[in-house]
Amino acid sequence: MTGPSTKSLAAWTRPNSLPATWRGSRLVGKILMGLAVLVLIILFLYPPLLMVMAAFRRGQLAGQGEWTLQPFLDTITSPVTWVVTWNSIVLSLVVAILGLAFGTFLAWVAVRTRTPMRRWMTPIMAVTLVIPSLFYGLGWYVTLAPPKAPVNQALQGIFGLGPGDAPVSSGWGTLIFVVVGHVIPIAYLFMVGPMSRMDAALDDAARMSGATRGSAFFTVTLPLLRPSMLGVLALMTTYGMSAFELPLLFGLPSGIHVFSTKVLNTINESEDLPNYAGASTLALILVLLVVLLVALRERFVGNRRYSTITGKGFRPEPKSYGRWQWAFLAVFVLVVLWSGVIPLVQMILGSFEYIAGVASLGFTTGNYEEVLTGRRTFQALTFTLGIAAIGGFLAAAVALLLSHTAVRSGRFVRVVAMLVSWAPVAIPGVLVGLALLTAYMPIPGLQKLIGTPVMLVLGFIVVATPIATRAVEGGVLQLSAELEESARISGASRATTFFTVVFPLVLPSFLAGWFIAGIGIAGNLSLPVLLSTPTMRTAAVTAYDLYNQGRTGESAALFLLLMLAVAVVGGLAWLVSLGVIRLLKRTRVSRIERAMSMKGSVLHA
Amino acid sequence: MRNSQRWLATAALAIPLVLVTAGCASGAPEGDGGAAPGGSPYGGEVDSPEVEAALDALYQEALAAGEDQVVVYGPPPPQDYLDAFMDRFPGIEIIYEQLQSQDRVTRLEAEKASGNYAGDVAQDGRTPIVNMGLDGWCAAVDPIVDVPSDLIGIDGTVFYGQATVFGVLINTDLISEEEAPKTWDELIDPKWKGKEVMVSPAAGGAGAFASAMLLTPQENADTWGMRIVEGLQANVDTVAKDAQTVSSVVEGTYPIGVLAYYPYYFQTIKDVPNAPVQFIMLEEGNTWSKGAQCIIENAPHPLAAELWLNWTFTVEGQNMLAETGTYPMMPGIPGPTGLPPADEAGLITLLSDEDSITGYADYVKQVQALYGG
Repeated sequence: MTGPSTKSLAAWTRPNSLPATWRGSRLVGKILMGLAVLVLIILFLYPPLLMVMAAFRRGQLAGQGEWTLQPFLDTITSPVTWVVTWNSIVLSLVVAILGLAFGTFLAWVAVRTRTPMRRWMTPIMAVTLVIPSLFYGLGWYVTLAPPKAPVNQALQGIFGLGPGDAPVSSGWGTLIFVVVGHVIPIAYLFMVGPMSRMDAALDDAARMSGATRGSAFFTVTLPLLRPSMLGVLALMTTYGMSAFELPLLFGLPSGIHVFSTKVLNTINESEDLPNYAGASTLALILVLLVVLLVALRERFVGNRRYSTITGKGFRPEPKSYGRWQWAFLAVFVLVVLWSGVIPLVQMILGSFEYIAGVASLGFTTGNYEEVLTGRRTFQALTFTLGIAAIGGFLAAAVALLLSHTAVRSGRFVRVVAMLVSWAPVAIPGVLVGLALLTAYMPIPGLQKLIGTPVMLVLGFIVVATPIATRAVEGGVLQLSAELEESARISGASRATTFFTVVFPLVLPSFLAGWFIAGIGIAGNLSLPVLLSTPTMRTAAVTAYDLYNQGRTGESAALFLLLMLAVAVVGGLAWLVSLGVIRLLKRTRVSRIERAMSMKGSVLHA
Repeated sequence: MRNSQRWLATAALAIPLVLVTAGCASGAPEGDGGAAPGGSPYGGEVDSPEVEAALDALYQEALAAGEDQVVVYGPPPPQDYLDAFMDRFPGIEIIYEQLQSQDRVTRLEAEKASGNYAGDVAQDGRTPIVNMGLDGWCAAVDPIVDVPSDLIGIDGTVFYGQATVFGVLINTDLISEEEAPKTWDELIDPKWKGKEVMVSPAAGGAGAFASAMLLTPQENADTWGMRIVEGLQANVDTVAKDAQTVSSVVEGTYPIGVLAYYPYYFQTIKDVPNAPVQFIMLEEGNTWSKGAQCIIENAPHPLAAELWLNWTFTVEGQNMLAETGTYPMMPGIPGPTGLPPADEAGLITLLSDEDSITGYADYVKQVQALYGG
């Protein structure tokens, strides 16, 4: 019998109950990650889960009261539910596909071609995005729908129709035309970041292999943008499901009912007890749609690599397309008229009219006088700008962290990040404030924050993060891992790598995400009313109240002042960011030069 | 830039601009700019000297308690009405938050859970406020002003101080007052088909509730009933928003607006006295909404809220209601300009306050279904 050898004794260590990956600093890291996941689940996943549960409970509050199947059964057996669902799905898909097609094309024109005015395209689209959907709709309504509308008058003249005829009024055609026009700027701004990071060498390779410019666009450029495009397509489909004002103006008079108007009707159909169960049953349809869209996106994107930003030789230069560029410019101008100028002109006219939309009664500056002398106008404007900037930034920051963590982490974290970044979208827009408030009410820490600005910012982060994520995630997916690996091999820490390599490269997407999220926050009507106190009113809510009192001209004037303020602050922020980017570039160049000269001195020594 | 490029650039910009110019041209003004709206002079006694003294004492008490605002959850009234109170009691600001129905109750539940109470007063149509009173959200108040008992409900918690009416709006350039329909039967005459505009009941709201009033209680159903509701549906073109009914008639797109909301008409005439529109009340069966308010339990500004509630029932408060287009409910106060007193206005019979909570729901659904909702 032989005892243990010296070698085996030396190799022996005391057994530990925890594996190596669960000890020391790694354990702390895992605990912190666990806490972060818990917070994310409570903030982002619990509200939509509560809305799902609410389909089976009847009470004064959503998700509370007696358990029952009856409202669920009543809703799903109602033929109206399925008509509304079909209408909403048709509207959403058509709008998402057309909006994304126009947005992607124009983003390509802006950053991949040498079309005249291309540098102005992004700022113009950004300004267009600020037009509130209510006034965008009212602007197009007075332009298109009534028999006395300019378009109908022109058609009456051309086709010899009577003065009471309205060949263009409400209905599917008008509804789709108007909603598509409203979402093109969103699609453009989502796509312009990823498009600007496409390496021209990839196109060149396709051309050298015999492809035409057109086929290179469809076989190289578009497939590489698939992650961004599919994410934006899914998000815009849910936009179509949440659209409220435009279907109300252009669908309802023709008997076209959609999801959001039906949800609101269902809640308020009985005065004694709100029918949250019925409304939540409808919301389940939206949940299923979101799950389907996200699953499709995952299936298409899968584990393939879409990195277009690599190290050496990365060239995102635009190319000249000759005379075609003038056609591109004409398309851009037409889209800007469609999405922005025509409704904006009507909105400006309305703000100077005694009764908005009725120019025959003359013009007045009274609406602006009323608004500017209002007790809380200035406070509402500054509060709106402040909360939009802070909420938008934080949402974009959360989106960046989620996207980056998802790409560089394991499957569990990736799934959590994906759920968090999509879950709030599954709540119908008209219910989102209610869902957040009802979900957070019983949670001790959050409960005390209700009615404070902190809760409002928190709510905005939850609502805006899915939007910001769609802008940021495409940019993160395009980053090649080799860039970060190089930095880590050179001795940089994770944090240093993130802030010096990742962040500068995804900055265009981050800024787009910040801006789009900020605009969404500034125009949000549901959260400020329910999550804050009346003294923390945003300008959009104030303007909407004015509209509901029949003071449409004053409402238009206040919205225009808000747009002006956003344009001025956004313009200043843009200039500052340009300055910062230049400064960073200069610093980087001087560092490289210094490093090179030091290297040189060593060589010469 | 070469000449050909200049030409192409001009074409690229010009074609779309021609379209927008054409789009805006027909919106050019034709009027003389309209007259400035006439202001309503503020002044006069608040009420009797005793009431005034008691209100003043309450005001001082509220200020001493640091209560400088009243937060009201409900649709805001015209600013002139609020200004009249704030001119009288300048240390207290009235802040409205457009929270209605279920949103308001959810908000109050959240305030209760968090302990961060913000709302002082709930104000709306009577049904949701009566519902709140029954559910224990409202505090009992012993009013300083002598409010008749029929204007107080649910154990002294709910107060009915005002009403708004819906009527017929006509464009006087297109039809005369004599020609205009003055009964529900005349409104469903096929000769008006396509000439009437109404807010769509499909999305609920005033259109659906006002139509439901024609169907219940039984006496209304016997006189008007589904016959009128279906006749209207056959005659009217619908718009999405109440304000569009008024603007469509003012613009002359339609000669007749049905279920026109009087406060919107009032605001229009205030802004543009020469607008070619006239509000007509039907001979019988005018639909209306009875307004109610209550002080919320645990209101953070209870004294200021009580002062506001009392002021709305004073002679000054009630007259200001009339001056801003709303029917005052206190006896002896004349109706809004151009409208008959409430007891001569041919207002339709409503369900009782408590019955109204559940009594209209089925009829609202019937009306919505008729319009495809």
